[in-house]
Amino acid sequence: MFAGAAREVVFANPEVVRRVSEEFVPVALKAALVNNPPRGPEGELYAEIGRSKPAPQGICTVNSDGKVLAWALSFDDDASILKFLDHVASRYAQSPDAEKPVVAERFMKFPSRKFADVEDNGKRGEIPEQHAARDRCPAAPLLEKGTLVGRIVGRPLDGDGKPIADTIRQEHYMEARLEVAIAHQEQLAAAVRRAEGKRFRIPGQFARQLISHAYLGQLDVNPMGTIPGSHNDRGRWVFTGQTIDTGDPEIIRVRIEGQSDVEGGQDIGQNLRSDGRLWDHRVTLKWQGYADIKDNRVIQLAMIAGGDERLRWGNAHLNLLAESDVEHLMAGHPIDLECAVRYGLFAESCSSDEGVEGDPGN
Amino acid sequence: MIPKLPWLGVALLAACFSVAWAQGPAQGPADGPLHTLLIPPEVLLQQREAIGLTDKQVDQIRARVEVVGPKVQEHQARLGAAMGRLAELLSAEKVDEDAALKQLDQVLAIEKDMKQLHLRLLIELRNELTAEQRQAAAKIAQNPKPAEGLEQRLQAKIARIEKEVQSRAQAGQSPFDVVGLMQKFPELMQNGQVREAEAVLDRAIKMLGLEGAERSPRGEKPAGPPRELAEKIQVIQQRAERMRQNGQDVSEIQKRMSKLGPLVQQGKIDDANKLLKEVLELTDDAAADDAPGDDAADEAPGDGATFDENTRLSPEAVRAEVNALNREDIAWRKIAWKTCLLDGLKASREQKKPIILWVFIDRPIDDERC
Repeated sequence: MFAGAAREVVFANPEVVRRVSEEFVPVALKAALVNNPPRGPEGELYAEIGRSKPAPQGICTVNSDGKVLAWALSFDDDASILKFLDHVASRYAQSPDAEKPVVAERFMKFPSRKFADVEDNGKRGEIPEQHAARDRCPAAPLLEKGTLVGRIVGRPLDGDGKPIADTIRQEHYMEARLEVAIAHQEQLAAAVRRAEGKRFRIPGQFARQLISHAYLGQLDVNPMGTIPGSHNDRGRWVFTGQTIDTGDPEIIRVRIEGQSDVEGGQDIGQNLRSDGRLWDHRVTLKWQGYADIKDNRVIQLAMIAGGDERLRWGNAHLNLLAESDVEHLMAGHPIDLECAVRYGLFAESCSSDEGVEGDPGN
Repeated sequence: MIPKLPWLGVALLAACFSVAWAQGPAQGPADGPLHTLLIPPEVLLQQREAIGLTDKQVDQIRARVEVVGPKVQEHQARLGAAMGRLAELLSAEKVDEDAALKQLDQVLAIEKDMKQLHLRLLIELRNELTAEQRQAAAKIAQNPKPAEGLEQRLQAKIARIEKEVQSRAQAGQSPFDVVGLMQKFPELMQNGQVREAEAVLDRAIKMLGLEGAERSPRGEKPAGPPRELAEKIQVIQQRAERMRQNGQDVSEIQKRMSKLGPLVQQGKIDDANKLLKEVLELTDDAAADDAPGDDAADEAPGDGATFDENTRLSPEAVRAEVNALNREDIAWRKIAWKTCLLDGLKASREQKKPIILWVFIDRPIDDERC
């Protein structure tokens, strides 16, 4: 939940946006690289950052040699976010590089709750001019060339059937990256061939890709039950396809229609997730759209869906309503939503700078 | 050629390790060190007071598990896809041996990644503990609360499954659906979901047709369900297998079907019939959704046509509606986040500014939900 809350209440704050843009170099890092650094000099830079981390995720500030100045996991109030920026700027002025030792400060909540500092280890890591591993940045996405990549956007509707204006909270404006593997594209192409022009069932894995991101809220509330500690109560969907003429003999266009009904929630008392979270989520949608297939691959996919959604989120261990959101970034904020919703999805074959030949897992 | 099923071995080994965890000290000397050195997170959390974990340590353990969970899911999805591809290759009229072996390498590589991910987590958790806490955890690991008969029961079921799978493999059959199902077993055990794990074994036994094959102590074959139920069970099994092959979630079916045995044993045939009717309805749409293409082509699925001519949108209209939902002027996107640490350090030196890092489970700026 941390990143979602940080995005909503820290990095959407206009004054924070302005100051971070003007006074800092903003870098978004995958936690996996900090927690499990790659080998080599670049990996050592990630390891140095990870050496002082108070938690696997967080907001961290470093100097120009990659030495950690301060971590923060939450803040006393909105004003404390700006004070944290002041504090870090001051520390940077004193220790802009690794010339002299600098301790890593760590705040559970800035400035009132502080963990023990982590001393400088005296090492000055080499900062390579370029990446190892064929010059690919370890943070760059690695996809098999031909993977279908796109974005799905979801928004609740107001009483007039229009998307509500707020785009900060994820239960009000949801974006997710969608990736459809080549194998699933080929399953669709095979189903089209077998149907010989008749209406046909869309293969399950392909259909699953369409619906699996269509829900509002942070990633913890996936009603498909894919998050550890959650369960899926209902997962029914029917999608059909019908080829239509495009006038282009090289492109097969499939009109896709379907319905989905998915419901899930938190396992109560499940030890792995006993952090007090409580939620339930149901999404019922009708879908329509098109997939263009060329040479056995889907080259473009556009879908729109409308229906109803109910989402409730809270935490039994925290009095979320009594605190400001910046005080508990890890736990998020309460949600109680039941409304009409609309989702839109558009995807294309991945661009060459993301794609690599063959399976990127090898 | 006898198909090799190394991942079954991995699954079963992991399963045995997990059973040992659920049950108590490892029986073999080789298992001893691992058993007491690497303590799973659920055990640490369950025994937090006995081990003496601080609130901060508990938070850190949970946070680490939160990071790993989605990665495991991602690996499982990749593994499922790779297994599916392997099954596809092996189901060809004439199997392309090179392609199948290459695909097997991919399956094994993903399995290796998963194991490394798991081991790394356990090592990180171990490093979070003080020497005294490690000692306390090891003591608990050596003397866990026993669960009566569970180990023997699970091991007996695993042995039956393993024997049957190997027998079929030698006969040239490849029960990949069962092997795929068994992939879930180790994770469930490691999560402490023993009942669910046993349900997986029971399901595998059913799929292999071993249900009821085990003789009672007197050598009498246990009575099976009445014929009216057996026919429905068979249909449900077929539908569930089809769903599983297509990657659909069958946990709800398994959950409901686990209630059937007790009903039959208690002679509540009407209730059993009612339960089967519910499951048949549950599998009806989902199974039809993923019916193999040939069946689907023959049977025009009119129920799937959700829109009529008045509500059906053109491709251009769909694109326009998608675009209308998109917003580019989102507050958090106004910060020009870099994603490369080296670029960030270079800019920091040139501009003489500190770096602010947003460290997140994935790339929060990449159109990602977070």
